[in-house]
Amino acid sequence: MTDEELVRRMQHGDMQAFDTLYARYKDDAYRVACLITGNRADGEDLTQEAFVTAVRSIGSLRDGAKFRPWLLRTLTRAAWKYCRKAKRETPVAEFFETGEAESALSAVLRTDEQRRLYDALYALDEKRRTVIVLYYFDDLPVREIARTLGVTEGTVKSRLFSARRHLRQALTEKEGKPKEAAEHG
Amino acid sequence: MDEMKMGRTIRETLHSCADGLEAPDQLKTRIDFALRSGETQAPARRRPKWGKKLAAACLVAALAVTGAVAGSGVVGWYSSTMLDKNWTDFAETAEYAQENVPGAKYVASFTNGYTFDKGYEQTVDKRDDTGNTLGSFTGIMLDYEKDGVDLLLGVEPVQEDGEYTSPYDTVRTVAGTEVHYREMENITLPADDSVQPTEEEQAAFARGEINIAYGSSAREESTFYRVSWVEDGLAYSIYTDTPGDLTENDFFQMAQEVIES
Repeated sequence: MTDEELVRRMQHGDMQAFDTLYARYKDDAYRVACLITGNRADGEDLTQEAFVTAVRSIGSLRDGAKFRPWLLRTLTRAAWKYCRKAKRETPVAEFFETGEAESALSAVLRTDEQRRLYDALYALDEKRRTVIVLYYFDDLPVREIARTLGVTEGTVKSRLFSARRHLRQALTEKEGKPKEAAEHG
Repeated sequence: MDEMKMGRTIRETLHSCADGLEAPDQLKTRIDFALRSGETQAPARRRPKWGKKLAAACLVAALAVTGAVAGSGVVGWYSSTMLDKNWTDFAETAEYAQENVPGAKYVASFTNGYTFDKGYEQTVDKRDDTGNTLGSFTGIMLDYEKDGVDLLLGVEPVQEDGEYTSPYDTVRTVAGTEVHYREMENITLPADDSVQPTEEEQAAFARGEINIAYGSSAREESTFYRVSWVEDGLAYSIYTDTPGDLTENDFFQMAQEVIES
């Protein structure tokens, strides 16, 4: 059954349709949320918030085929506010505090290059990090990211350019953290 | 490192981090509980979104009092909303508006696709420097949504001590009404004074160049895109900090649709 049909059913009160949509997108949403916030606990909270908001405001979604970008938009905005509120711009540290977290990221830490890139990613502000996640992890084109985030394509390109420059610097440095993380785009 | 290799490294790193992650089983239980418990869970989860709207509403208030507070004792306008006075039904919102903001104009949707999502009452208190409320008024806010992007239409009674235009506005006559458009940098700070604007920012605020609002959990910077006008004793504004593809012309067009409604 298509997203459009499921959304239509949800709009008529069919919660089984929501269960199907949840099963379809729960992992996508959870992974994006974890990557943006940098930890699984916040990722879980934000995924919950996104789905609860989706159910409550499903009536406002005119094109059910766009359920996924609509859900991601809800999630990313909540994530930004959460990051700012919690001041967790460098949440990577939290992962290394517990064995469980380190285990979750053990694949990432295979190479020094990936470790530096990961550190640099979480030194970015949340808006640039979100664009990186949507572009490189979710494989969304610039135009779709702009629609998802509600910004212009130029803004997305600018954030991508700025983020890449920062990450490139991190990858080319032998040691030490990049220093331009506070820049906003 | 060339562009392709860097892109590949970023992609591989992110996928290594997240591909193995799966939403925990208990997450669905939490969501179902939140949905069943309705309002018990809703306010906490909705707070960020409402908070943003409050901040946006503060923009209107602060713009309105710029340069108009001398001698009145009023140092700021403080907006608030009641969670039990919001509606997702357009007819209910319209009914409330007719009773409490007589003569207010609004539309169910704009021709550009923004459609009514919810409405709510907004009360604005005028306070002095000791926090005493010297006066208050009530307006109505309508939230429109398109593809998940919000914009707000605010309607409130014109205040004698309010100032509804600025030298930085682009002004057009739309359907016989003078309509003002402005893009304005905004700083939103915690209401508990834990974070203060810089002297430079305070000076810019005094000159009307930027807006400083309060009510966020941490310092936030944004740009508001706003069209406003006064008609029949009511002050209207349509604004957002996430304009998407909306242009200045689009804002004037939306103003025209409300004026002609």
